[in-house]
Amino acid sequence: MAAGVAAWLPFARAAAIGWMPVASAPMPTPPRDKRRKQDGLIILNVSGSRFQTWRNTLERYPDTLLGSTERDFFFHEESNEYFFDRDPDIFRHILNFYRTGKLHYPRHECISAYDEELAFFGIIPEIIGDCCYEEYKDRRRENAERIQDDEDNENSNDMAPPDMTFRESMWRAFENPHTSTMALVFYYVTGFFIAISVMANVVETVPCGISPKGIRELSCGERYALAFFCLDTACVMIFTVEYMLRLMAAPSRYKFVKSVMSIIDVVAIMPYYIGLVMTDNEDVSGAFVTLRVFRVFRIFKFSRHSAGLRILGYTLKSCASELGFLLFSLTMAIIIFATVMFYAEKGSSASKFTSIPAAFWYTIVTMTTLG
Amino acid sequence: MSTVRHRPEGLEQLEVQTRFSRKELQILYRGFKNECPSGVVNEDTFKDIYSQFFPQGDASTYAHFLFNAFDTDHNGSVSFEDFVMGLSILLRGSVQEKLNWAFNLYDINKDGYITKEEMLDIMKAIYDMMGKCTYPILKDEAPRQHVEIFFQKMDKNKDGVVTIDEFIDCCQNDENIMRSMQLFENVI
Repeated sequence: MAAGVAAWLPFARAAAIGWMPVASAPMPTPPRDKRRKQDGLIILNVSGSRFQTWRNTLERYPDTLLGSTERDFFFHEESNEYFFDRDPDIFRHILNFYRTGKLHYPRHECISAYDEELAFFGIIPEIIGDCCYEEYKDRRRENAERIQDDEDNENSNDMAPPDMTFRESMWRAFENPHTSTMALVFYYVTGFFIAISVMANVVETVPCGISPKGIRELSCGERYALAFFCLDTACVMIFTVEYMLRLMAAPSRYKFVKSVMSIIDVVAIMPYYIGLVMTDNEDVSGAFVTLRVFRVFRIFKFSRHSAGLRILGYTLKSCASELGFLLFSLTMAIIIFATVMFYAEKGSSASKFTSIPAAFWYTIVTMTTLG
Repeated sequence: MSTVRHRPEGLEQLEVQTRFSRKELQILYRGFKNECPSGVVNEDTFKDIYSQFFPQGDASTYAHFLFNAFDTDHNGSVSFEDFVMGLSILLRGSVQEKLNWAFNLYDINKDGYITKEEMLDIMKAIYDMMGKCTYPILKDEAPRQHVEIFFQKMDKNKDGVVTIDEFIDCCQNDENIMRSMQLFENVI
């Protein structure tokens, strides 16, 4: 029952006259109220700021500190008031809760300080009014994440516990390269090879002069095919060794295999092995060429080396639902307009829209204002 | 939000008109003003407040009848004076006055007679308010049966309606009802 409505209890009891004449049995007596004494003012002294309210206002919520006999522990005989050594600014909101029945969260207050005050006065945060509840939940979540991040950073910067197994120390070396020189060397070597590999992929396609037989321009990849092949093999070997080592050292192999970085690693080295397996099969060489595109994913291995790239990844992940909705609504619009265009031009024989999918390209290009 | 602001008559006048003491009027007004800052209760707020006391059933029909009974000048809103006058009769009035007020509640169209239809409406409203949590579980024809019992008891000249005199007479002779009336003394 809401706080203020308790004052209407006499009215509710009086309204019982309505069914009294029609009741077939005498009415039961109403319970006697325990508080027959007169309502009085209570002075609450919070660190010097005096708040005054009716005793009944506080007793609306008997399961909080102020509403129950727990407040007697804070009674100060000399000044005949209740003294609390807490923050008066936040206390104002808590007292307003008793008065109006709604708890508000002030935006300028720190969320942990507010939570502490609520906990002290025995008020559960779930009763925060709808007007302030979202803000409160958001701030709380942010705070929890910040604390979690701080803990993680602290954990990783701690001194190594002395008795770690070889596997654990290897994993620690992989995750945090600043822990030992070996880890740092490994970190830079892998970074170097990633860069080499990506640059090789790029340089492969640059035209490199006329071939000795003099017919057409050759790309560097075709001219120095062996050199590039050796370079590619070396890089892939390093990446494979790195992946195997990480897999071995991971505390939870299943979790490691599912993680994004390991999938990128796999995708980066798979084209090479698939290429080894099916080199001379002409039918699938087209597919093989497409597979080489995946080699460019090696560039994403830099995420381990760059915190900024990881943050970009997290950002995309956190707004994945919004991006997904954007994609979905674009698709809907494309389908609608392509259909409309197709049927609009169906009559004309010179129409380029032979089917609805054929109209998709036109629609996409027009909607994105590419033309 | 209503912009109508209504200030009640002075405390002295209300003290004279009702049978409440000064302190009691102060407490009543503070509760009233807390829930209705504009100074008047309209029917929706009235129903709201009343249903908070009876969450298990649908109290809105009964609250509607109650509202009409409190709203003595029939202007669609209950001011503090109406409220406190009604309470004064119900809690501090004589048995005659209380029975009079109850008759007024039952007589929906205020024509001086309670017909079977009016009684049935009231009965259904009361049953709705009690909800499904009664023991024993009430059947659907229970209101109608109850109305029949009521009319058999109250309607002395069997003309199909209950007048105010029949009502007051019959209630004063009924022990159960008299005993129940005494319970109102200590409500506030």
